[in-house]
Amino acid sequence: MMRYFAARLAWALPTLFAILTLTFFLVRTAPGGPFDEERALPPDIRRNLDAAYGLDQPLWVQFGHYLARVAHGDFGPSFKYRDFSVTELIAQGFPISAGLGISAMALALVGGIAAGTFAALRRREAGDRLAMAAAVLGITVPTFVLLPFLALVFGVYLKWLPVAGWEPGSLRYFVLPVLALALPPLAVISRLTRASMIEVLDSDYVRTARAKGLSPAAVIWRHALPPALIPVAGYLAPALAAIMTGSLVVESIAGLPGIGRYLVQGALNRDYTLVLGMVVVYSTLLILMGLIVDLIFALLDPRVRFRA
Amino acid sequence: MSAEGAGRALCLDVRGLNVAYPGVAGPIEVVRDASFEVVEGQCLGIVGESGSGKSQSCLALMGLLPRQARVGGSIRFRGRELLADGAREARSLRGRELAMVFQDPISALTPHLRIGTQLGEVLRRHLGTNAAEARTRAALMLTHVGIDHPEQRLRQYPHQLSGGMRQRVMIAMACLCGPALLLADEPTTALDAAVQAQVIALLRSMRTELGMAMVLVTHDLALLSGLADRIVVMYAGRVVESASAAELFARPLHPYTAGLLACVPRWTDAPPSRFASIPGVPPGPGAVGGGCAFAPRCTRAAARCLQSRPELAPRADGRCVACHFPHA
Repeated sequence: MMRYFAARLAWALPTLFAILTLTFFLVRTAPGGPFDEERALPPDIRRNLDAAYGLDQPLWVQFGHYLARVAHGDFGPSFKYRDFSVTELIAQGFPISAGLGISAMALALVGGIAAGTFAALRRREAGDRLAMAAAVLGITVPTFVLLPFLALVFGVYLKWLPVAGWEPGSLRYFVLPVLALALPPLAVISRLTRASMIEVLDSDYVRTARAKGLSPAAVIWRHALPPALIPVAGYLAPALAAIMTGSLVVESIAGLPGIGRYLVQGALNRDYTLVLGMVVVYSTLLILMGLIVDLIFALLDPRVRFRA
Repeated sequence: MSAEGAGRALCLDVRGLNVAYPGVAGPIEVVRDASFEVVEGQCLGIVGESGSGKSQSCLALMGLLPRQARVGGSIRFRGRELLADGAREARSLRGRELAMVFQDPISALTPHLRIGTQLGEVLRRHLGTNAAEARTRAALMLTHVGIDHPEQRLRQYPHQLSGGMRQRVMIAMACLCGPALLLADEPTTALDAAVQAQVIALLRSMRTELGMAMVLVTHDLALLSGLADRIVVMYAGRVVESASAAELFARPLHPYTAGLLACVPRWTDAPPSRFASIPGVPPGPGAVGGGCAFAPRCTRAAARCLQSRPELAPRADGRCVACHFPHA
C-alpha cells in the first residue's frame, strides 16, 4: 500500500513536467505576444523589452531558463502586472479562491450525499422525485446563469446578501458565490449517491445488517453509506475541476479578487508566466486530489488496500 | 399437531400468511394462505422449487421483505404477534431471539467491516456488551463453529475468507445471542459439495447445543433427511403437504412431493442415464387460475383438478395434504 503511494507520488513530478512543457509551447506558439495590446512600440523599445524578458532568445533556451527558475520555486515576473511576480499574484489571491473552492466542495459533498441518501430511502416517493428534479435543474443550469439569478433574488429583491463585491474578513460576500459554485457538483453527487445507495440498500449485506436487528441509522451509516460513496469518491477529481473552472466565472461575476480570473486574463493577454504559474497551481491541486481519491478508495474498500 | 410435538410449546405459529406485491394488473401474490408451526427446539424443513414462496415466507418471518410487499395473516413467535408489533419491537427480536442465515455467504457480509466488528455489533446492540467482552465472546463463537485462529479471523475482512468460512461466520453471527429460532434460507446452495456437508453438520450440532428451533428452507429434499422433524412442501406460493419427516419420506401423499422424492438421486442405484425430473415448470406468480396449481404437471390430474383448488386439510390419519387424488 505504502509502496503504491510512493510510486504514485513519484509519478506526479513527470506528469507535472509534461503538463508544463505542453502548456509552455502551446502558449508560445499562439499568435501574438504580451506587448501587442498597447500602442505600437518603437522598434528599439520593443527590442529592449524583448531582451529584458529574454523573449529574443530561441524558444528552447527560454524553456530551459524557465524550468531552472521554476525548479527554484520562482514563476517569474508577470508581463501584465508589471510590479508583481507571478508568485506574489497567486499568493495574494489564492486564500480567497481556496476558501471559495473548499467551501463549495464541502457544501457539494455534504449536501449531495445527504440529498442522494434521502432520495434513495424514499425511492419513487414525492421527496425523491422532487430532489431528483432539482438535481437535473442543478446540472443543466450553468454557473454564469445561476449566480446572476441568485444575486437578483437574494441581493436585489430580498436584500439579504450583497449582490457582489468583497470585503476582507466578511463572509457575507462569500455566500452566493459558494452556492453558485457548489450547486452543479452537488446535483451530480446527489444523483451518484442516490443510484449507488439504492443498489447498496438492496444488497445482501444490508439485509444481513437488518436481520441483526440494528437500528436503521446504524444500518445506513455503518453498513450502507461507505460502499455507496465509492462512485462519489471517483467523481471528486472531476468535481474539483468543475469547481476550479467554475471559479473563473464566479470570481469575475462576483468581483472576488481570487486567482480564477488570472487564467483567462493571462491567456488573453499572452501573459506567459502568469498562465504557466496558474497551470502549475491547478495541475498540482488536481494531481493531489487524485492521490486523495486513491486514499479514500482504500479507506472505503479493504480489497483495494490488500491488492496493492 | 403431530405426536412427536405434543406437549411442547410452539416456538413459531404461522397462520394464513399472505405476501403480495403491487403489480400492473392488481397485486401479485407470492405466498398464499401458508400455515405451519415449529415446536420449540425442533427443525422444520420448507421444500419447494424456486418461486414457490419459501424464501418469501422466511423473509416475512424476519420482517425483511421490501417495503412495497403487503403481508397478511398471523405470525406468532413465542406468543408474540410479529405482524402486529411495532417496528422497534420486532427489531429487538431480530438478531437476538430470531436469527437468519442467508443463501449466499459471499455477498452477505459487509465488505468494508472487519469480521470482529460485524460479530461484535450484534452483542453490543442486543446485550449491551462492551467491546472487550464482545471480542472474547465473538472469538469463542468462532471456535464453536469450527474456525481456527479466531483472534486473527476477527481482524480480517470478509474477502480474506473462503465461502464456507464465511457461511460459518454467518452461522456464528446468527447464534451469538442464543436465538430461540434460526432461519436458514438455502444455507448451502452457494457452496461446493464437500463444504455443504460440513455446514449442514454444523447447523445440526449448533441446534442441539443451543437447543434452538430451526426453519431450514431448501429445494433439496435429501438435505432434510435426518435433520428435519417436520417438512412443509410449498408449490406456487401455497403449502401443498405438511407431515413429519419420517411419514413424508416413507409415504408422500401429494403427487408433487412424490415427484420431488423421485428426483433425489440414490447412491445405491446404478448411475442413471439421466436424472429424474418433474416435467414442465412451475407457474409464475399471478399466473395461477382457479384450479390446482400443480395440475398441468401432474400425472394424476383429472378435470376436477383444473376447476377447483384442493384445500390443505387434515385427514383421518392426521396428515395434511392439498390434493384431490393423493397417493395412498
